[in-house]
Amino acid sequence: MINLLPSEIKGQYRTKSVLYSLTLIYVIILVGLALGSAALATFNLTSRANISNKTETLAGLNEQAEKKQELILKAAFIEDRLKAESSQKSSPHWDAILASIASDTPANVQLTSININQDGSAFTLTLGGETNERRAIVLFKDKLEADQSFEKARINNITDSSTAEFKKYGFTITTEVKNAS
Amino acid sequence: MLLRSIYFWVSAMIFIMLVGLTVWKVIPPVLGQYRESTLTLKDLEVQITEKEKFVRALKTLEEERTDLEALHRQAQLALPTAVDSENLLLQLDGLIASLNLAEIKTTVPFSEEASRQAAAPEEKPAEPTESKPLAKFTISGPIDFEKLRDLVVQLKGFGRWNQLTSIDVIQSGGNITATITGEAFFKPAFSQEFSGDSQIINKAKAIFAKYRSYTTAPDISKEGSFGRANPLAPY
Repeated sequence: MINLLPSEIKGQYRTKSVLYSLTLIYVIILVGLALGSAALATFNLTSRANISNKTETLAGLNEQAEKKQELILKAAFIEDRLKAESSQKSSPHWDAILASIASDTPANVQLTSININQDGSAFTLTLGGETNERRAIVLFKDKLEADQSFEKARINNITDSSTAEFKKYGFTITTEVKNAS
Repeated sequence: MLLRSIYFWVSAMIFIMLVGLTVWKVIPPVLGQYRESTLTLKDLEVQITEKEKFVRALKTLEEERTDLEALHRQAQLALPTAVDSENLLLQLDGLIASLNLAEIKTTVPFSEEASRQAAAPEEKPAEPTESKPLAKFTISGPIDFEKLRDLVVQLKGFGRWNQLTSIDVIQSGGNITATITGEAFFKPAFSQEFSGDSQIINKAKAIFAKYRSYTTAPDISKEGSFGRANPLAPY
């Protein structure tokens, strides 16, 4: 089909058409912005109601907990003591030390004194005893040295109380107790 | 043609003004409220979940109140808030009696210092501090090596938490005398905040099962016979 309209009128129609389209785009954008703002505002209103409900729920739960304050204090006390329990034990295993002393003592040695003492953070064991041969004293010291419970074993002194009939040697040995806590 | 249209320029200006106004004045506060509400809601939900868990744990404790009371008493005996020398002495007496060590003597301090330390935690109960092993005790007397080992083993699982500091054994003419010194712990303050751990009863049972108490706290409402016509007469 041939358009016989003059070019000026054609131009006016085109301009109007563009203007209508542009206006339509403006309106769509403005409506979009308005709807977006309205949606956000509605969400905020709903959220405020939700916050109010949840705050009430939380207050109710707090009230329930408050009523059981006596239980809370007792449970807190027990919990505190459970936490403290592990930090209380820092000394060596005394029963294991006594067992080691017994198992390390040579058959021909009689102990006359056992002293385990705390020296700062370390524990020192001093053993006094009697035997009929000096070799047993050295063996005892070596046995203590080899024991995993002790370290740095040393003979402090050996005294000779032998008579013509009996050999009798007194001694003291000192060793450090390894920290086996 | 379009640029010469007054309608175009007027509509463009109105559009720009409306969009500018909306973007500048309306959207930012609404967006701000949105963010704030979302964060508040999330925060409240977390708080409610935690509090519900806490309340559930309290309900469990309520149901197991008898166990809780017993464990609380055990905890008080194990690590009291004061020196508590008298209960320590009763505990040690119970231990010695259980081992049939009639000749063994036990001593604990009843000093003014100990009493002062015991009173101090009342003033500042909210600040948890490390325990101070001030209640030093001594166990001494004739004992054989096997009994000594038994005694040391029992002290390890003693209902009042303690730490031995020395053992001194002397053997002379077949008689063995031992002196054991140690420190019983106490912890003046404790945290009053309960974590809400619903397994606290089971955990406490597992821990306290390792320890043996040799006495119960004296209670004048349940024991003892009081009142004498002549308190100076022999009992």
